[in-house]
Amino acid sequence: MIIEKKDEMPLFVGIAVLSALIFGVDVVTELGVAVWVFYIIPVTLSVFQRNKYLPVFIALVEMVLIVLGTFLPLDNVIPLRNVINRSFGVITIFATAALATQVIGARIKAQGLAWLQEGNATVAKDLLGEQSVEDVGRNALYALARYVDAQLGAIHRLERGALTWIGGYACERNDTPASAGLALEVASHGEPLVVRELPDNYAAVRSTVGQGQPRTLILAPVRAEGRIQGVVELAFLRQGDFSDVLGLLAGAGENIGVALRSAMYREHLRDLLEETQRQSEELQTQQEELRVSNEELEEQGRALRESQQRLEHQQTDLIQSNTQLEEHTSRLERQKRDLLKAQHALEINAQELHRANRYKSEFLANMSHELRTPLNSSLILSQMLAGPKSVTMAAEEIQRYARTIHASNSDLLSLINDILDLSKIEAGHVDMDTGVVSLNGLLEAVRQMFEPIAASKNLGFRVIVENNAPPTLTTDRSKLQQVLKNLLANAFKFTEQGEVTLTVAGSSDGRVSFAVADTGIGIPEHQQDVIFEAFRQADGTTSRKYGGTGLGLSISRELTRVLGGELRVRSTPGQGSTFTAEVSAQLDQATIAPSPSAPKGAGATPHDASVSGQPSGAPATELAAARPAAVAAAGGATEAGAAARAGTGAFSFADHALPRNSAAAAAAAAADSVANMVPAAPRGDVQDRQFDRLVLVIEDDQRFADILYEVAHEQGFDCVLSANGADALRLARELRPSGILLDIGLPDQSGLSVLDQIKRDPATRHIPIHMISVADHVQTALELGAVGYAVKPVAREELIAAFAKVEEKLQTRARRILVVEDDATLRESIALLLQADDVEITMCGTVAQALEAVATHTFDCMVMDLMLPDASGYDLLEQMASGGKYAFPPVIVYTGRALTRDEETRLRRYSRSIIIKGAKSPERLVDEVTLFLHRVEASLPPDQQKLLLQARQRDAVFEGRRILLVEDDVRNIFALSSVLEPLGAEIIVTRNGREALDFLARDSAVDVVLMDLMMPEMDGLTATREIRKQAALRDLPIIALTAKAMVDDRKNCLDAGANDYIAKPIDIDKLVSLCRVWMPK
Amino acid sequence: MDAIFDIELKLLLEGVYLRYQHDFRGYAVSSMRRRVQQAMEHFECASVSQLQEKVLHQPAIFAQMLQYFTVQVSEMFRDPTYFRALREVVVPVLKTYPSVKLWVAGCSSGEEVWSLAILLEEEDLLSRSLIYATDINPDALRAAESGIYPLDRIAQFSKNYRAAGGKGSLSDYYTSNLHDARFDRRLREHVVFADHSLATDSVFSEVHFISCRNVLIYFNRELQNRATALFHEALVRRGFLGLGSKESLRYTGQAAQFVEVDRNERIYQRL
Repeated sequence: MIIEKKDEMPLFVGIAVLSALIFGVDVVTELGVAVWVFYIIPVTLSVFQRNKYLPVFIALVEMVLIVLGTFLPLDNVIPLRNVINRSFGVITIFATAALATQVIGARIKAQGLAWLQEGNATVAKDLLGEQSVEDVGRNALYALARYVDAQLGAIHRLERGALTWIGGYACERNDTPASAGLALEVASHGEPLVVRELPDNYAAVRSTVGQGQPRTLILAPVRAEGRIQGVVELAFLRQGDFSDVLGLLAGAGENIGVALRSAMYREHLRDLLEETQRQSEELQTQQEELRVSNEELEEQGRALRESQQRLEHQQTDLIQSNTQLEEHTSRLERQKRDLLKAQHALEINAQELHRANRYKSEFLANMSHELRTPLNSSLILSQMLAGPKSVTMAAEEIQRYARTIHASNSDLLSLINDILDLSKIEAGHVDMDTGVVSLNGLLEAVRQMFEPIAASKNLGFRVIVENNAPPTLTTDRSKLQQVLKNLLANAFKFTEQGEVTLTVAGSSDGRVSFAVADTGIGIPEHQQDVIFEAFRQADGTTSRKYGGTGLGLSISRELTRVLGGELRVRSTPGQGSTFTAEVSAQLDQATIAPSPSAPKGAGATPHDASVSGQPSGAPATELAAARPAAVAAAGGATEAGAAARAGTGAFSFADHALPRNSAAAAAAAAADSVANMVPAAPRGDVQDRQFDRLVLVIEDDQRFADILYEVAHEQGFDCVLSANGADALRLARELRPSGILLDIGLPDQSGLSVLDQIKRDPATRHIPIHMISVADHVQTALELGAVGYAVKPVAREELIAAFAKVEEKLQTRARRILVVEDDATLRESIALLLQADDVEITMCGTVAQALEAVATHTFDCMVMDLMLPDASGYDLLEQMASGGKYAFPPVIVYTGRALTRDEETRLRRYSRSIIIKGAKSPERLVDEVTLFLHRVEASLPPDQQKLLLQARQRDAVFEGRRILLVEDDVRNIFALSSVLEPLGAEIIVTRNGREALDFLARDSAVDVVLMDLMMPEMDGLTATREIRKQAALRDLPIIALTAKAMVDDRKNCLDAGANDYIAKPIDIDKLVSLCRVWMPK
Repeated sequence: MDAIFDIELKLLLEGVYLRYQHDFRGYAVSSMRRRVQQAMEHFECASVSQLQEKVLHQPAIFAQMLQYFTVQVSEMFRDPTYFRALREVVVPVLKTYPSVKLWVAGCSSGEEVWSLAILLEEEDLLSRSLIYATDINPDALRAAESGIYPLDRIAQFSKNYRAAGGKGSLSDYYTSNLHDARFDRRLREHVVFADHSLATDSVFSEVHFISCRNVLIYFNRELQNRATALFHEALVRRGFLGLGSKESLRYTGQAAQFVEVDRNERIYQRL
């Protein structure tokens, strides 16, 4: 039992002293004096101590003293009467002792009971109310442990034979089944258990300064109406008798048990309720589904009936028409077959026509080129000769000109001859003059013709006749000779050194082959087909070097064909070529193959005539086929080029963006490091304070800061100076200044952001802040909670006024509301409505009064009507917003008339709360005013907070840029403007796509469009498409803002013409960097 | 069999999400099972996998399938007492705002949107109101936007309208031909119909009143929490939220952020 042990020593001393005193007196007084009566007093006194047996002991002592007192001094005569009297005294003393023993016993018992009751009551008190199982466990354990002075504790509940941890007292959760052990035993048998003399490492009672070893452990069950609900376990540092604790646990256990059981019931009930809710939802789902099915069934039934009737009608019709149809079908099929055939034929014709046409144009183009080349030089030279200059020309020169002209004209002539030849052959107008030709005669003529040429070019020339060559052949001599001449002329033409060989051989199929081999430049394989085409030589440049019309091979090939054979070429570049003309040895008229190319037109492909291994038609067709493909490819290439350009564009953007970002990052890092390096030792009166008020000046201009320092002292403020935002924030928290003077342009962050952070920190938000800066953000600063705004350059008076404002704010404890309303009755009733203990209401009836009031005092909130006698509410707001001497408290517009969209937009700039008078308006007014009065406490929505926190310094990329925001959500408009405007951009707000288009039609000087998608009248996708339709706006960057987050949605945006896409809720960093990327450079 | 069915169902929903970005994975399983079973009968599929094959490969089938995934059933002024409560409790507060935005989430074929527009018109509030009507089913949205309903349903609509405290006759708001009734285009001017999913998309605008009736019952607890969190974010301070007769905020994560304004009609107010 923990009843305080009062110091009983004085009592014991008193008893002893008293006994001694009485004994002394007894000894000295005469025997007959009944001093012994007083021996009863010490016994009586012993009632006040706690030992039950002490009175009896004292009685014994007193008895001894009485006896001693009787015999001392020893010479006394002891009358019997005295002895009897003293004996009575002894009896009385013992009776008193017995009584005292009883009293003490009763008292101890009563105290024990009271302790138990108090313990029970304490525990019961902590279990009041509807608590969860965990709360019950924790509270009960806490009360118990404190009451019985236990140092460790744990409580478990018993569920289906297992113990579950509910709570601990100075004890970690430990409820693995294995750890239950003793606790489980106690729980299953219901008997409390005291474990003494715990081993040293059993558990530890810890605090921050040390730890100790508990000595005793008590486990007791917790019951409700006899059923065990759980187990309480307590550990004690002390040892001794714990029967009282056990007694308390038995009593309190019942309380805890009942509470625990009710909590468990409640939990169960909650689960059941939730389940019921779920089931009822499920039921509703099923009902809904049933309704749908029902509707569907009805719909289907109706549809079925209708369709059945229709079907019956149709069936008869169908049977009739079926037979007709069958007839039709067979007829149609026949027609179709015919048509297909015709179509096929047409297609072939078309293809042929197309090809012929192409050949013709190619041929004409080549021919005209070949004709023009000699003509050109003739014309020029002849003109020179005809001109006045010719008079002074030397005779040789004139001759040279004339020779050249002649040569050109000869070329022209031979060309025209060749063309005529060729066209004749191709047109089939070849007169064959077939006769028996002696091979030797033929070869001799050829040899005579070319030997001089060979000699002049210093080349070898051999004619070899193989054994199997027939001596004579039946053919057209002149034509065969022309072929050989052509081939040999070519061979000599293209051979610079080495030799030219003509080999004649027979072959088994009645043909004779004339092979002309040279050691000339040769022909690359891929051009071996081309050379047979009219006007083509192996290389476009060769004709310049070697001359010739380029028709020779074409004609030769045609002639060979006419002669019943073919012309082949085999060649290796650099080593020479071999042209082999095979002609029929026994040519008769009939064997002349009609030229298959003849009907295809004059242009003709010498190729087609060839029966040679290389089917020449194929490449041409391929070429034809390749053409459109190439065109397409070219088109593709252009597109690809465009894409590539776009790609480069994109990359260059990225390139630009990257360094910029990294530069910004580097700058930020540098700024950071500077901030870190410079030890943030605040200047000013940190240590030695003269005044009880301190003002924190946040200003990076050292000189101005010094001025402020002086003024502060003048005004009776201590002053601490800080040159950057980070330090300032720290100082504001550490020093808790009475006021802050804040500049906006700080080296590390915007003063607005500092203002916002100070206002957001519960520790600093009460501090009045006065802005001193250039007039950029008056409205924003005041809205963020600044008490005033002085515009640089500042006059001394303004500085003093700023201090005065801070001071005034310091002294205002009551919340002040300004009510501006012209109707006196209404004004009174509003005042009545808003009246409260700590609220001070100022009332004005006119704009002038109101302005005066705002200029002289600061208000926490302002309620105003729009209709005022001397000017409109807008004027009031605009004048207040102009800054300077007016503070700008949060404004609630309380008006009786409906507002147009424009009016609302205009008002929104100044007031975020507009109330239209009506049945429910008083309630809303009170609600909003309360909100504003406790504005600093009420938190803004988290996204908005985030946005504001991220407000940054002005940014060169945004400086002076115009951003068109197309968005109808007030919240977003505010959030985006408050981020982008401080960066230096001008924000133009339009509320839907239609308005945006109208704006762009008036004024297209916009750098970036931020386009919301879900808007009234015209949505963002449509608006984007419309913008893209206008040529002038084709490159206007558009960034779509949308609540939709899926891949397809993104695609839709881009397809509509948006340049990029950002999902709501908007990540402001991302938006800013997107704007950077798309902002035209 | 059931276990396999559930696996297939899960795969189907996952597939639909990956293929079409429609997220039905958070829908209540029991209802989904029944819906998919019906769809299987309709598309003559023996297993969900067969259905999945069709749905994934044929967008047209998916469009039809949407009708099964979402339960499209409503009538005008359904639960007239709800609309009566809107008139009496919500509208007077909405009137104190200079302009009002309302959001009908899960508008299905639009009956509730038109009902709301009529109610606002009668309360002289429509001219400064904007109703966002959103749904995930493009067909339903088209139907909703057309505002055309078969004539045989109009009788029930009119009955509801009167019970909901209508001030005139419902016929003031539509013109009819032999089969259909077509609602006044003037009402349409104040409605934005848009595709929006409570399962994947975020808040698009600040609104003063949200009506989301018999939508949450198809969601599992997690998705219900997501949806109610969206509502909380979208609503202005003291904005209203109306739910279906069997729905409750009680066990959702947002329970503490709303107070019950009308318990029976399930109208809540944001704190």
